[in-house]
Amino acid sequence: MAKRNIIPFGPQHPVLPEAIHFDLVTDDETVLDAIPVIGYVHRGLEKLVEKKDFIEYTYVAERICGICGYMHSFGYCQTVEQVLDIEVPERAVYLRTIWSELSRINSHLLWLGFAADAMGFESLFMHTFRLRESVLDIIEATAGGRMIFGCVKIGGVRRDIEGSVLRGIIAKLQELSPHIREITNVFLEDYSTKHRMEGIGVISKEDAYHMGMVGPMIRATGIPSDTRQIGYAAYKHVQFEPATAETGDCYGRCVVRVKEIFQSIDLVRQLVEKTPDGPVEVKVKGTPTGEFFGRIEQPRGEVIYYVKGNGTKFLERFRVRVPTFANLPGMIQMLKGSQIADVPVIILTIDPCISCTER
Amino acid sequence: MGMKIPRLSKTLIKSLVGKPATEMYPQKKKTYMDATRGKVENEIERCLFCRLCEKNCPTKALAVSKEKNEWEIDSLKCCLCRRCVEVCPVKCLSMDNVYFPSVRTRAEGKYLRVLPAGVVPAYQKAKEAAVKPKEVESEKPEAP
Repeated sequence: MAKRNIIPFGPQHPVLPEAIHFDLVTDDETVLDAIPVIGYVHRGLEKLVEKKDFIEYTYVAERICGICGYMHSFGYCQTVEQVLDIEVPERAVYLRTIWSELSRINSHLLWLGFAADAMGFESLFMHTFRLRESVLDIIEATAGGRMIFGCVKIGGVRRDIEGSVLRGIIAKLQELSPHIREITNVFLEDYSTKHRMEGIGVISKEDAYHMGMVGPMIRATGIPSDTRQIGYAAYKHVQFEPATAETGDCYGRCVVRVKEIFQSIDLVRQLVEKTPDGPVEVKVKGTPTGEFFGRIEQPRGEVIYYVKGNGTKFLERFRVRVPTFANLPGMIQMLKGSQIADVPVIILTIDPCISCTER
Repeated sequence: MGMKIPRLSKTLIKSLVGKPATEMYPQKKKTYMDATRGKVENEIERCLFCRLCEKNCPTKALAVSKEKNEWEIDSLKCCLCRRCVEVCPVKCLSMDNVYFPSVRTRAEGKYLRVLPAGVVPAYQKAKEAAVKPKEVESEKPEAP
């Protein structure tokens, strides 16, 4: 038997967009155990609720994460609105939901690009990012920013989208759809990408459930767990089924994300068709008193917000349980027994967002 | 064993003969969307120097002085949230869709807007305009 080694992985590693460190205990080429070390990008954003008032904090919430930042501001506002007991106008709710689906398409295309990069498929990575750019253009034209939307505020949205622009979004996405299909077919059918993903990082249905995994990770094992099904925001008005796969390996997760891109395109179409006319914001009165747990579905899975107000304009406590945090134990389980060459792909398939995890 | 044709071939051939997806940046100017949040501009002649933008700025990037008739923005602190534009009572602030230029030092990143000498500040004009109708109004209810 070969001697056991500990191989450090990260915090700087080509496959990792953000800083996380793993000590990989290896026996020859097989990983026996992985010990994660986090805390490189902790910024104390939850503590900041004591310094920034609850309206200003929307901007901070948007900057928790670099990719799903919009979802954080959306979830934060939705939770605070529950505490304040504000009824958001219907049009604002629809616009928020449309933006969140656009953000999901953007995030999944980004993930596909990174996945290609992790496999060493450079040209596929470039082609995915070329398509992602078109989605970012839609976001920039409607929201004013590419990554930081800055559209949500407590009581509604800060920017209205005109009817013609809304219909333009559908047209643009429909036009983009075959191009995306062309690229995603490479992920799902090409020999070399399948070779890197099939049967790698398998987790069983039971393990995934007991470890509390969320999002595409748990859906890849065949459990249709999708927070959008509880019908928050405008999701109660649209028809969709959670995208699932049966295999529970890296390939399954890729299948789920690819399905979700097209599902989101369809959801945007459904939402735009149903968007009512009307005001996009209501005036906020009073300060938050009480507490609330809010849940929304991010591209990476379910995220939970806890807000506690004490009657002043500063919140007493704000807590985010992000999907990456819930997926980490499952990822460690998947790493055990894998080959060291597969470690980057396995880490990448949970779509780790370390800034979210550490806040 | 038959040779496997890579699935990306079709896309690769298309991009080989087609136009590049990127723009030749320095030769071709980048055009921004109308909605792009680029930088904050102040039309200083209309500014009331009311300091509402300064109070509402989440990053404290603005400094307004009523005594000196000055309005200053620190572009390196500004997070382009557009809140100042929203709270401005006279809408003299606006969002331009071109970004702040890059700078080498912190001092270069500050943009000072001073009211030109000889121009009457908008708040004084407003005050003068407000005083006159008030006197008329206050007289009216007393008359009957």
